[in-house]
Amino acid sequence: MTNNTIALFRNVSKAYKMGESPVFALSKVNIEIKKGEYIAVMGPSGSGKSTLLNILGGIDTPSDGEVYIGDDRIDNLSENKLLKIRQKKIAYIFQEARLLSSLTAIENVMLPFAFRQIKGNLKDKEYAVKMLDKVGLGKRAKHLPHQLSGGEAQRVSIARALMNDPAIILADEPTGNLDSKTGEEIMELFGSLNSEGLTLVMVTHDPQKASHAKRVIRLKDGEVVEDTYNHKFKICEV
Amino acid sequence: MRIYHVALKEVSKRKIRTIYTAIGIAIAVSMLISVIITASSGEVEIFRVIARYGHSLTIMPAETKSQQSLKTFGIGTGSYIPEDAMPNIEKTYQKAIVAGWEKMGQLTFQEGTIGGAAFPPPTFAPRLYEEATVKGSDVIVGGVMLEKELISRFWWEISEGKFMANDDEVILGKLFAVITETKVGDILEIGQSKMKVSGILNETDSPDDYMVFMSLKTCQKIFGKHNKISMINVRAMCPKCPLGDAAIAINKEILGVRATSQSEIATAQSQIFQKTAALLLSFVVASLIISAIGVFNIILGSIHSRLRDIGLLKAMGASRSQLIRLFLYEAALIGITGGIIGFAIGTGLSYVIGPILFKDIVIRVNPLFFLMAIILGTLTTIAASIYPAIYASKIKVAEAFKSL
Repeated sequence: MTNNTIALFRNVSKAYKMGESPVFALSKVNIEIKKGEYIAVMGPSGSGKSTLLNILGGIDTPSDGEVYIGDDRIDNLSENKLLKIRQKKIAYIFQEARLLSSLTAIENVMLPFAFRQIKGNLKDKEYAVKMLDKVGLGKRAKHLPHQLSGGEAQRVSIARALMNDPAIILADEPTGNLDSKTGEEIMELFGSLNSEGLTLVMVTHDPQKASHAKRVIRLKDGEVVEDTYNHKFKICEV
Repeated sequence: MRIYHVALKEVSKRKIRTIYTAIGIAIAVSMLISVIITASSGEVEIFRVIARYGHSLTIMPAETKSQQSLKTFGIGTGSYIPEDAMPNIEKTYQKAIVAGWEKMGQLTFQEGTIGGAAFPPPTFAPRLYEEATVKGSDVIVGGVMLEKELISRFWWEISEGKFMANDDEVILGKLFAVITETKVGDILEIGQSKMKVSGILNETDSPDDYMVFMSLKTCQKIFGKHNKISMINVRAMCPKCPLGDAAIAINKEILGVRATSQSEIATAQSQIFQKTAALLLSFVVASLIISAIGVFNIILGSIHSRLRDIGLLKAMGASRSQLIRLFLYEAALIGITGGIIGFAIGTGLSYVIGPILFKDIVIRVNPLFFLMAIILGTLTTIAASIYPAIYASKIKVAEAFKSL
């Protein structure tokens, strides 16, 4: 593990009991994610993509192996310590925007601050407006989720993910519910955020979307079958 | 952005759920508030009645046992109290009452008030009883001070005619009037005097029904009993006055009289009322528990429908205690809403129920009842939401996402 490492999977397995015999969602997976990487995790349904993302995000635990976020080993952490990692280092973007319907766009963006146990202040709001501006929705700050299009709602969820200045953003099929044009816009936004140094791990089954990533990891039956770099980008040293 | 902002937004956004849940609480709170307001206002009314009717002293001449037996029915002749002893008796009474309050140490006594609440002054109603034969029938003639007698025997009502206004007028007990076939306007010969019947009393189921009443002065004059009275009825006019102390003081300090307290019945009446109110309250508490079960189901159902949000908040780093707080804040807001609605409905109900239960009731709404309604509504919803909130906080993020 180098100083540049954001996350590390070392022989990570995840098994579920199905009757008598265990079924492996992940099997001895080794992945190192470096700062500033943009990774697409691909694979057919049931290949373990979402399980990998959940373990990386600390919302699921592996059956075996070690998982690190920065210097913190998270596979054996208590719930309380895990939530602090989630608060500070990890942000999620889901297939659906998953905005709280009762909150406006800016309130949804500020939501992570409600759980950071830090008193809110005007600067928080300024920062939230800045994040909304970054995703091109500064003028829709006071709109409720039902007043936003699917693409706009997803942009709000991206702004929300940026609020805690996370070390890594995990996106699970972030364009799965969007039309292709809006999906491309989101991909361009991801590219732009990555070019600013943000580390992104995106689960997708769409090769077109994966082509935006600098690195593609393919899973099959819980195993990494391919880990390649997209040559149209400058290859980083692994 | 704080957790209570999120709770406030959630509660105001989910209006139907909030109102539905709040109404469940409001119904129970309104029942409780209406019972409390009606009971407390009714208690004042009861105390007012007890003050007039229940708490009294009877002061009679001290006499032998054989003479006392005649007084079993509250009437009798032959022994007297000097009328000019009355100021002394009143003074002794007042002094003993003040001392009694001070001894209890919990209420301050000032002129016309007890513990800050206004009460009318006590009434000392003297009577002179004399035996006479009227229209061939033996009868007890009562000399009274009409103004004081009407306070002392507030149930007196005239069925025919009017109360006597002049010294040559009398009123008759109903039975005496019927038996002697006497009518309003008839002239009766009592002693050596001719008296005009000004009115006939309604039946009272007491010895008054077979008596003739005239003014005290006239009675004293006709029967040659100047400055003499047979008894004094003292209406305490306050529900909790230490009448026992007053009776002891009068017996001790005023020679030749015997004062008897008659507050036990009033105390029993008050206790019966309080027990009835307690029984009603227990029914209301039961209804609160039923409401709490309803709230429990609604909140639990709401949590199941919000698994997605719970998963999101946990993924964002919300801790168990923060999630519990979020749900309890929501419950508290619903409880406050229910408490306010319940207070409004309960107050309205007490204005409807109160006059049905207590004649002449004056509904008194204490601001503390408002506070009580809100606290009760809030505590009930919070109590009903504790388990659902803990349940929500235990949901694992991955499970929450899988269930979608």
